Amino acid sequence: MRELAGRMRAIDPRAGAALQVVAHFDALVEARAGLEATVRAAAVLAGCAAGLVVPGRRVRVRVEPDGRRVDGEVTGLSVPLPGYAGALVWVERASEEPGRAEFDRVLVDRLATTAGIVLDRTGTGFPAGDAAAVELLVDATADEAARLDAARRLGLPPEGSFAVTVRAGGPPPPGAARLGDLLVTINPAGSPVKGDPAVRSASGPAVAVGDLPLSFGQAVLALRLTTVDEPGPSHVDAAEAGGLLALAGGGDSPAATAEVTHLDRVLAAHPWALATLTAVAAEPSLRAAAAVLHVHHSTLQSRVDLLAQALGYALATPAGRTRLTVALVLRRFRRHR
Amino acid sequence: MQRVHPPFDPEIAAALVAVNEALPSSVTPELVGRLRELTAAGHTMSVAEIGEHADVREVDAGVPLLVLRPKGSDPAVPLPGLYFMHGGGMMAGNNRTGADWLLGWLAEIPMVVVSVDYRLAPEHPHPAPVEDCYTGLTWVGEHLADLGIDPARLVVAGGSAGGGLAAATALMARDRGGPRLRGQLLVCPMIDDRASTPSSTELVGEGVWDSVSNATGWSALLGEAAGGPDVSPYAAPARATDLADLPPAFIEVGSVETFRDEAVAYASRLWQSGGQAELHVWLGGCHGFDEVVPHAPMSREARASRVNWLRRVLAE
Repeated sequence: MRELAGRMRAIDPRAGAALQVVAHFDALVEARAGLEATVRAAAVLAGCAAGLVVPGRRVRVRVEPDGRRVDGEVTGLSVPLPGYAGALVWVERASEEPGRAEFDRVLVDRLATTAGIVLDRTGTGFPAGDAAAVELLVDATADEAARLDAARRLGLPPEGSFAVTVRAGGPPPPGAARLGDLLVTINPAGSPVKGDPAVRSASGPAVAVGDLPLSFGQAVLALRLTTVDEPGPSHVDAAEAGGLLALAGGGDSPAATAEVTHLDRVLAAHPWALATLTAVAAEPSLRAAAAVLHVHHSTLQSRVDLLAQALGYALATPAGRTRLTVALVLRRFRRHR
Repeated sequence: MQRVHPPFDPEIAAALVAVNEALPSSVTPELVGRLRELTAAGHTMSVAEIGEHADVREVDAGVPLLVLRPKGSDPAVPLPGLYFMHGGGMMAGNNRTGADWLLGWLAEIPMVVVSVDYRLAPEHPHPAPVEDCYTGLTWVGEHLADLGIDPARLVVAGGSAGGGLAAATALMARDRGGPRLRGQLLVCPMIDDRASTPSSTELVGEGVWDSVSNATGWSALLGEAAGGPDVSPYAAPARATDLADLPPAFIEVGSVETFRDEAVAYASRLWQSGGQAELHVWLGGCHGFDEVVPHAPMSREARASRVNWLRRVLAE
């Protein structure tokens, strides 16, 4: 009967209230409640204002304890939302009272978890699987009006900054477009990419909506530097690779062919050679490389001496390490075309 | 049989988990005691509490009445009047049940509110509850000047069982030459004992006031006669064959409640009889949703709709 109302209003912050909070948020997830309803539940249960901000989706929800939506600044107890750059939820109370403080902590954690579930479910602001729109946005040959329309369909704010992520297989993330063998997604700048060590992936630089083809192109180049069947990174961020990406254009030059042929001959001589050279090129010191390779420092030293002799150049000098790095990069570019 | 109904609003669905822990969807005769306890504990303010917000007077009119006026208002200046029947499935509650609604209306519209303490089924089956309601209404009609009520601006109102009783007293006032009514405010009204509409059987063990609860309520009121051929329209207003010459109605239900179809049908029949009805069917709302999720925007809008309607029909 309607006379039962008020039950949720009158939650006692002690005596099992935390359990009720958990149960209520679970019920909201089960019922597929939206972001505003989720924040409202927190505000009503806490008896003080609560909020959510997700910059990448231009979402900002703040609800008063009486359920009304009133905008306001982030204050009180806040926690970030993992996976969403700059996103956080907050409850506007920082209580010193032990029982109340613990209740608030449980509440804000449940709010964060529930909001994360709603955000994951609703995709990057776009209907999961609007692959056609993603495809248009990364296509440099598509006309600008069509690309702007696609951005609108995906809910990408025109003044926002985004990066393209490409994956060579694996389970398709929500909203991914399949372009040839690649799964392509567009993410707000700064959102961490969940790397899967078994799947090659790469991110392009953060760009304006109109420059997404550039971000896509750089991501595809960066992907060629990744590997899962050999020692080396499974994910590469184009912004971090910098000028190394320019080597892709020279991969078939006589100099590159000669350098990689020479490197491959050395690698073929020792099963540990590729892992050793990769670690030496990537790590700041021989000691760090030894730790990564799980070999004794002196063992590594003798292996490096042997390889340097076979390669014909020093590996301890900056010039030698640069040459090695370039050789390894050229080799990866020639393996993944 | 497969039962299909619209989905509950997600916020309501989540809140129902806690609500149904306190009282199951299916109120069987064994649970009437629990229904009464919860109604008394959860939704009935004391006279003193009510008195903090309004001038309160308890009157014995042959049936106990509670009279509320805006604090410090001058009885010499006539105000609109609202005669209220509380909910509780015909089996629970008293004239202080639902006082939060009354005080909310009073805060928006200066008026005189009278709430009636009708006798309850099953101890007092039909016609005791509705006759008590009508007795109180007649008394109000005879004491309009004392109460400071403008005779041209009196409405009846009620929620759930009270909505059914409000519709019934409007029928009685028409048939017996009772007080002239300006309107009838029927919130999720319980008006049909026959369980013949689709919505009356589509909720079993879910939501608020499912078909089992409804059968419990009607059996308490009507005994063996419930659902049979000889039920008075004063018990179940949906049975009335003549709906002409009734005051304008405000009818409100949720889209996911037992009473949905009978409420919609009542509105349709009022229109077909040349009357007025303003019908609100709220998306994904359960029975009494505005008290299950009082903070939700839909609840706010539903409450505002009632007040807006009252303002319009009670305008000078």
